[in-house]
Amino acid sequence: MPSFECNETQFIENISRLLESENRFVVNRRIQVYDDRRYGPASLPDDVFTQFSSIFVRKGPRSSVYAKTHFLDDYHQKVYFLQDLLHSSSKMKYPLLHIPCYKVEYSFRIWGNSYHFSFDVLFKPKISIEQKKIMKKMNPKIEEDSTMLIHVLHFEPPPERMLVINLPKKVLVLDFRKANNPLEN
Amino acid sequence: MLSEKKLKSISVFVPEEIVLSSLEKSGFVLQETATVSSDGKFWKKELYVKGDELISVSEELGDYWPKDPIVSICGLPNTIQKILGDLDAFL
Repeated sequence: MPSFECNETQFIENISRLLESENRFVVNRRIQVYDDRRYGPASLPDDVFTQFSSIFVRKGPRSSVYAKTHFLDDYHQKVYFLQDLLHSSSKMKYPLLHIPCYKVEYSFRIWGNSYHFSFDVLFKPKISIEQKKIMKKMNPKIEEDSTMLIHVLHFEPPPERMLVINLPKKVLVLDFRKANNPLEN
Repeated sequence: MLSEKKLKSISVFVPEEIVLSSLEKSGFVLQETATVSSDGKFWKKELYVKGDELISVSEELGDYWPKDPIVSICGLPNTIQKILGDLDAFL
């Protein structure tokens, strides 16, 4: 079955044309959390990197990123110390600190063809100073558990309205978790 | 009879400020922003709302020129016509 990858404009315009022509179709949607080292701080554009600038430092885009201060990555329960390497410019695909995201996949099928559009929405960083219990398992350099005031990096999931394409109510959208195609096995 | 909502998505060679001022003039209010990655690029996505009409504006992040934000509208035909008219007037 031919499968076509669309960008946002193409995908929405295709749905719009199908609605105008009064064809009946179903839009499939899968939304999943990914935390697979796809996004590290060195690959972020400056506009996004500035959201981390109170605890991260780098010379420019695609340069190595280091900790500017000690901090706790609350999402992954890891502690980093001043000048710890967070993302090496020589290992762009393997960031040590990574940003979780929602992967959103949309598709519909018509006349034997399928049309796809996918995008990732990054979790939002929120940095604060909090009293936290720091445990040995959070970093091998920690000798004993203690409670301290420390910078804390939280990753907040984006709200659902940022994960969806806005479609008129008459478009039937069905969510799914996993696509099984017995013919492919 | 009430009009049905329609869809429109366009990529426009109009500065983001002009797009946003047109949306605000039409009564749309910024509700949320997010960082999105698609097509191997990073985008700033902004969601504007007026009643049950929704418009998203996505602009590519980084030092790129020319900027061509993507405007996706799920709204009434009048709203779509008005926004497209404002953007055409700039061009």
